[in-house]
Amino acid sequence: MERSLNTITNTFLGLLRLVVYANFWVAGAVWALTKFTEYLVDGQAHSLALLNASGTLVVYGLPTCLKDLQILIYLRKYHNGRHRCPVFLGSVSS
Amino acid sequence: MPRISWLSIILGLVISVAEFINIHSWGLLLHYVFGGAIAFLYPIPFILKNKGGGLRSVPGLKLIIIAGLWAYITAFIPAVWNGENGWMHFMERLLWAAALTIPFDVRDSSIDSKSIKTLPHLFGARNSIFIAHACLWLSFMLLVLYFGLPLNATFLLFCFFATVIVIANHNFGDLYYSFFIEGLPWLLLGLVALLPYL
Repeated sequence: MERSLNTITNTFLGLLRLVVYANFWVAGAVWALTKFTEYLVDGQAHSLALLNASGTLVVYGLPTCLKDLQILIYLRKYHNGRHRCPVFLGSVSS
Repeated sequence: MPRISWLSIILGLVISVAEFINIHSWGLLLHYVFGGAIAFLYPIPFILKNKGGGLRSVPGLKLIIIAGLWAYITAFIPAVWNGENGWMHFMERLLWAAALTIPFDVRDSSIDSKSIKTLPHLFGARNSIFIAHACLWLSFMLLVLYFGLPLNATFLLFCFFATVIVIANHNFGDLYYSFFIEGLPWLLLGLVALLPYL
């Protein structure tokens, strides 16, 4: 019983993490707030909720992309530096 | 970076472009270019490098940028798009977003550089939570007095928001902040969806 409960809990938490960390949850929050404003103004124009939510996916994903980019730049610098170095561990051992 | 994050960015880009083509308004596009520029400059590490990188590293600006941007995108633009003066909507959402952003600042106060000068750095964690409550209840007053939301139901909902702010604790971890605090807008939407039955 306990084991199956754990499975359910773990599956739920896994799905939750997926939704939260892939920014779908915050995009949903933006969608809901935009809809809330449109209710307050009794909006008749084309809803902007979907546009705002999709924009949120892009904007919130950007820092993660930048982190990846920075890691790539550092790695490239590291490799370039290593090759320019006159003696490095690989050549010593050979 | 997990593949799902890339997929969510690509999905966001595709839907944004499709929606812009569908709506086809240059005025609206200008609003989003302005909001998007600030949002992109906020985390970017290549500008203001000596201060830590990005607009967020400008002392005292972090909370104003986050709450202001949320208010601009989710309240001001939709209100103006529907032919209303968006400033009262902007003010209400700015206060509400600031109230719910401050617990994140309290959580991050130990990892944020002191030079950023967030509210917890300036006034301490406890006083920051008081300021968050002041913002929250000012937003409540605007919603009830200016926008005419029903007093009792809105009061109950805001009591719940206030509780979430009070019990926010960095020991709860990332999922608490991301799931519960960022999930609160759904309750606001639920309130107006239930208005006909209240």
